[in-house]
Amino acid sequence: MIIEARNIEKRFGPSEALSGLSFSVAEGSVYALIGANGAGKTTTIKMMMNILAPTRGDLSVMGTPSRELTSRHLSQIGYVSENQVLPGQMAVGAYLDYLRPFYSNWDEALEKTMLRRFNLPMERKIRALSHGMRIKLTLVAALAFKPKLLVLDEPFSGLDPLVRDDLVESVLSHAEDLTIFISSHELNEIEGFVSDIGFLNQGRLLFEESIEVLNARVRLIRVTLQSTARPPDTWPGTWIDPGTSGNVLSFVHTAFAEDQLASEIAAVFGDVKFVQAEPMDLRSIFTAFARAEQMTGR
Amino acid sequence: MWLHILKKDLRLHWPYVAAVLALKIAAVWIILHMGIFAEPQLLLLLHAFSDLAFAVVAGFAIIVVVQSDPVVSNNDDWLIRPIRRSDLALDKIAFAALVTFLPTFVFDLGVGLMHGLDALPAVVASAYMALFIFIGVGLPALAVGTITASGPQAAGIVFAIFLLWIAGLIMTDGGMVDLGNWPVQLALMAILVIAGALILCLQYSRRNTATSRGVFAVATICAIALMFTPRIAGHLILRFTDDGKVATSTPIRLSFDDQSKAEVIGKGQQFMGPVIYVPLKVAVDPNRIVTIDKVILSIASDDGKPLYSGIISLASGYPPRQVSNVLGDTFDGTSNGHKSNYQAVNLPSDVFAKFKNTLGRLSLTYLLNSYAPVATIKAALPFGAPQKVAGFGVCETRLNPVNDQIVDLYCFPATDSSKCVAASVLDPAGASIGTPQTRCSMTSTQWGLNTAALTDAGQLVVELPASNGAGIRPLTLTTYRVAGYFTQTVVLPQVRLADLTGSAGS
Repeated sequence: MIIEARNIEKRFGPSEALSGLSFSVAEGSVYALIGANGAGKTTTIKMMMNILAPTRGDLSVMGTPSRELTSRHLSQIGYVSENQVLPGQMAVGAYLDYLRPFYSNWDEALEKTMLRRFNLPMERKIRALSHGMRIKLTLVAALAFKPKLLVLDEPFSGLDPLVRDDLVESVLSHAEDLTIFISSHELNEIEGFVSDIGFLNQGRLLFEESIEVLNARVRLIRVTLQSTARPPDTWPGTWIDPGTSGNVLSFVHTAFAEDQLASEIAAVFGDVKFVQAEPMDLRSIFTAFARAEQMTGR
Repeated sequence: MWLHILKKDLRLHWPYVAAVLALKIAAVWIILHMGIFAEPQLLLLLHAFSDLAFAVVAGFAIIVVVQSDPVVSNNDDWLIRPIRRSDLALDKIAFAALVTFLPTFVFDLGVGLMHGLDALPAVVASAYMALFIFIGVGLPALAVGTITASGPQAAGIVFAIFLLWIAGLIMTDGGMVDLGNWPVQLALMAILVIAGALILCLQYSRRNTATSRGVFAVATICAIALMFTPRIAGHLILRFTDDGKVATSTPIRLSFDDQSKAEVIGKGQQFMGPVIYVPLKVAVDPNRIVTIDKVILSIASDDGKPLYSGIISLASGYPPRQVSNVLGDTFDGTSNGHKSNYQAVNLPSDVFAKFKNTLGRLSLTYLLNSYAPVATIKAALPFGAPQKVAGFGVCETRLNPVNDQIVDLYCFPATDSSKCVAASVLDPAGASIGTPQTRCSMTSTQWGLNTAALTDAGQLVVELPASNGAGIRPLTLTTYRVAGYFTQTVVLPQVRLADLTGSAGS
């Protein structure tokens, strides 16, 4: 495992930002940590980068406890964050000139290729760059030294679709032998290339699994009842986010198995007119889980 | 890699470095322009301003540079780069040295050499001053920079310290400790160095801002408390540490002249406040110069119960009709032979108000320095040309711009030990015209170094009669060195402090 977290707890004074967080990221995977604002994604990433210290628990990155990461480790980790504060007074070219000597494996050809692709103005001061341009620059500075691990913290936030596509393509074109850890709200953008998902809610990890397993077990179920729909009194724990419209009742089945669906429906609703099971995209799954968590009062 | 980071910082912040250098150059230009006679006087003010501005801009530049890679932040780019924190710390310390130590050392050394100091004392004095500026300005600025993330935050801390200092001034009625007192200076420097080093270590190794801010607060309180420790404490330490040097036989004998007019003991006319005229008998070894360093006044009740003790200063200006022959702070052979001498010492208003018309015993403890002659030379000093005087320093003469019957002699002593000079003009036959004029430097020197010769104008001013018309003055100069430190206590038994302001002309 390139990243391994065990029972991480992080407190800021009296408030608890993370509680009992455990996850692991396999080498070569693309791991997405998703969750609502304030769920603790950025805090988790900052602890991984040794910017913040965990209050309790074990967190290791590339086999080393995060608190003991040295410049040797950081020279193999690329990091892009929407909150990253760059030296605004420096010009783009001067910034890259400054960074280059810190990385023994800096690939100038790759740097030039990416600069051409992103069309970054070398003489312009960083503070004069647009948000999109700035993210592109940090991506160049995060990939030019061919890192083993790329950490992306909300990289697509506030970007227009064209820039987003450009960035995703760039990341993917260099994804070979690269482990990517990403936190993002733009779930539709990352769905195509993510291999594993961790769902963080209010500082706790609700689940962690591969995208295939998640896609296989979660379905939007629409049940057309004989009369006006009303949620039954007894409701399986794996059915979340119920809704009704006329005599159609919908919910998200989080442990879907095609061969068992009919019997499960019959056990709860008895005779029904029609049952439909639809696959869901990542965004819809996230929304359903988030709403369910809100309803349970967490 | 620290050099690589330093280059980046210099490229980004060169205007600050240029401003610091410009201010230092301006200060040096002013010193050299004023010359040894420190004229015009307006330039002295400008010089003080440029020196202050140099320290302020240097401190500001350091804070800006430290905050360009902020330690407090959790979002800055350097945190996720393979930049060793020790390299970053070294870079910031080097920048601080570059804008404080280096310009101070280089320019002060130049001024010292131009003022006639020998190479070694000039190097040591300028290195000391440079270190003083680095510790006094550079380290605090580094500390403030590392525990803050923005200019307003840093400004807030500096303003809070200023308020604390003002509060200290108000609470102690302006009773700041003598910063020239070496134990005090050493303690203050120790606080700055220890706190600065601790904060830099904490911030750059562990980014422990809460603890660092605590250390900063404690150090600030300690430094302010030290600066406003009652002045007596510093002097007592100095006396204690100087005990080993106290001479067994003293070249001066001061005693209460009970034959004098006892009614002059009390509040006299004075520009700034009440003074006491202390009638003294003075007997000085004619081969020595004795100067008063400090005076401690003690008042006791008639039955010996201590009522007051504190440092007082000598009165510099006095109404000439109050008493005659008021003694200054320097005694030499010419101080002997007077029937009545009066030492005018300032008396705090509140002390006078408290003890006036009370019968009691006054003790004046004089902390004295004695100087023995080292060499007497005959020199012809051309007007307007600074000239080195071997074993002493550098001197220059001019015709007094107001009175052409007087020649002004200005000198820079080279070290702490060469503080006094006696000079007289020679007639064509080689005989002295009048008695030698003696002057000791009142400018405090530090650790035996004449740091004042780096940043001040001339310190010893002697007025001599102009005898040969314009041109070259043949002079004899006798230089003196410190021979010993000692104390003498003069007890005035059974005296009553009276209001003398109505009895002028006695």
